[in-house]
Amino acid sequence: MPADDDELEGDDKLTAMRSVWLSMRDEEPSDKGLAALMAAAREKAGAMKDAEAAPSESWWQKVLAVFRRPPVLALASVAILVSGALVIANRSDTMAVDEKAASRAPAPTSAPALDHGAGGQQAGSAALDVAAPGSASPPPSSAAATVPEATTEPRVMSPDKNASDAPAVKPRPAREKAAERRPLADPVKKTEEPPAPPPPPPEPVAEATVKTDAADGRAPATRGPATKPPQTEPTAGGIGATSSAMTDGESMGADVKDKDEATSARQSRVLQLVKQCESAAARGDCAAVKALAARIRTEDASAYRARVVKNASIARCLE
Amino acid sequence: MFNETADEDLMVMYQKGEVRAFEVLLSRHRKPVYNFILRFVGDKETAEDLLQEAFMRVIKGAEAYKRQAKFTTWLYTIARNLCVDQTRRRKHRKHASLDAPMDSSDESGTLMDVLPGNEMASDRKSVNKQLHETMQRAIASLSDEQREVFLMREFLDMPFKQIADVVGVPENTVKSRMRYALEKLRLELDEYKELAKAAP
Repeated sequence: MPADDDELEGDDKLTAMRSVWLSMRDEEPSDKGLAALMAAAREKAGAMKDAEAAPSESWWQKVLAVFRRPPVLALASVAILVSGALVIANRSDTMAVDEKAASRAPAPTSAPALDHGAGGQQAGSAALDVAAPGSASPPPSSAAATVPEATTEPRVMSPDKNASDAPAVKPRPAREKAAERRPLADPVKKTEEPPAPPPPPPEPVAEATVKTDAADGRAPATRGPATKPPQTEPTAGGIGATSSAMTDGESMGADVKDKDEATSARQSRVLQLVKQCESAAARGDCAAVKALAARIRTEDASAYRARVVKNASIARCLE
Repeated sequence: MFNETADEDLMVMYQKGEVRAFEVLLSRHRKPVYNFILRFVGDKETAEDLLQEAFMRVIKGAEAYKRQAKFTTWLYTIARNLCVDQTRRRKHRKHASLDAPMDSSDESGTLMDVLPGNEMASDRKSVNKQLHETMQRAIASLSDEQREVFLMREFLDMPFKQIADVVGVPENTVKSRMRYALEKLRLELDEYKELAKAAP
C-alpha cells in the first residue's frame, strides 16, 4: 500500500478483505487492435519528428503570437486608454498653468517683432508696448491678432506707426505715480466715461490695480472692456458693496500693498526690457536697442545707467 | 535500453519521433490500464475498446504533453474519463439481466451462476472463485466515484494525491470516498468473512 495511507489501515476485517481482492488475478488484454495502435503511433511519431525538424518560429513571430492573445490585447487597450487619459490630463494641467502664468507675467515682447516693415512696425510697437498692470487698450491694428487671447495682461497699442521709436509709454511713470497716490475710479465706469471727469470717492483696494489708467493720457476709446483682465472687471454692484464695507485703515493698507505690487511689476518689466535690449544688441538690431533703451531710461533711470550704458554692445548701438 | 527509463522521459523521446519509446510505454501500462478499465466497467469487450481508445488518445495528445506532468496521472485520467463516459451511456440502457451472459464469450457464465449458493464451497478453488466473484459484485455495487477511487488506491497503489489529480477533486474528498467505499465493501462482504479467512 502507498505510504500516505491513513486511518483506513489497521483494521483486521479490512486486512482480510484486502487479501481477497489482492489475490484477484490481473487479466491479460488481447492483442486485438494492437497493430492499429502501433501504426497510429508510428504515423504520429513521423509527424512529430517532421514538426521538430521544421525551423522554429523567430522571436518576433513568437512576440506577435503572444500579442495576438485576447488577454494581451485587452491589457494593451486598457494601457493605451489609461495613458491617453493621463496625457490629456497632463496637457490640460500644463495649459491651465500656462494660462495662469501668462495672465500674471507681462506680455512677452519678442525681438523678431521689432523687425521693421509696414505692418511689422505696428506689430513691433504693439509688442514693445508693455502695458502697466491694469492698463487696458484694445489694439486697433492687426497686431491684435498676434496677442494670444489667453494673455489677460492687456497691451497698449499706439496708433502711431512710429511708436516703436517713440515709446508710447512715456506717460507711464506719471500714471503709475498717480495710481500709487490715490485710489482710482471704477474701471467699468472709466471705459464709459470721458477721461475728464473727476475721480469718484475712494474705492476698494481690489480695484486699485486696474485703476492705474486713470491718469493715463490715452483716449478712452482705445480701451475696451474685452481686453481688461478678468480679475479687474468686477460688477458695479459688487464693487460698490465692497467699497462701502471698507474702512479707511483697510484702504491705506491696500494702498501700500498696491504700491509694492506696482514697484515689483515695474522692476520685472525693466528687467525684461534690459534683456531684450541686450539680445537686440547682440543681434545688431540697433533700432530696437535704441527704442528699448529709451523705454528703460523712462522706466528706471538707475537701471538704465547700471545695465544699459555699461553694456558695451548696447553702448555701441546708442552711439 | 528503454526499460529503465522513466515514463516521462519515454514520452519526451516519443515526442521526438522515437516509436520504440512508445512501445515500451505501451507494454508497461497496457495490462494495468486494462484491468483498471475492466474492473470499472465489468465487461471485457468494452474494456478492450476503451483501452484501445485510451492509448489512441495518448498518441493524439503526445505533442501537447509536458515533461512536468506525471505520465501515469495523464494516462489514468484519460482511462477514467472514458470509463465514466461509458458508464453514463450504459445507465441509459436497460439493466443487465441476471440470465444474460457476463461477456460475449460462450464459456462465460451468467450472473445467476456466480451468485453465492447456500452450501459452502467444497474445495479451496471454489472458495476462491466464489470470493472473487463476490468481490467483483461488491466492487460493481459501489458508486462510480467510490469505485474509481477504490480501484486506483487498492489495485494500482496510487497515492491519494495522485488519485485526487486524476479524479479532479480535493485529496480529502478522495479519502472520504475511499472510506465510504471500504465501509460499503465491509457490509457487502461481511457474510463472507469466514470465506475470506479461509482464502489463501
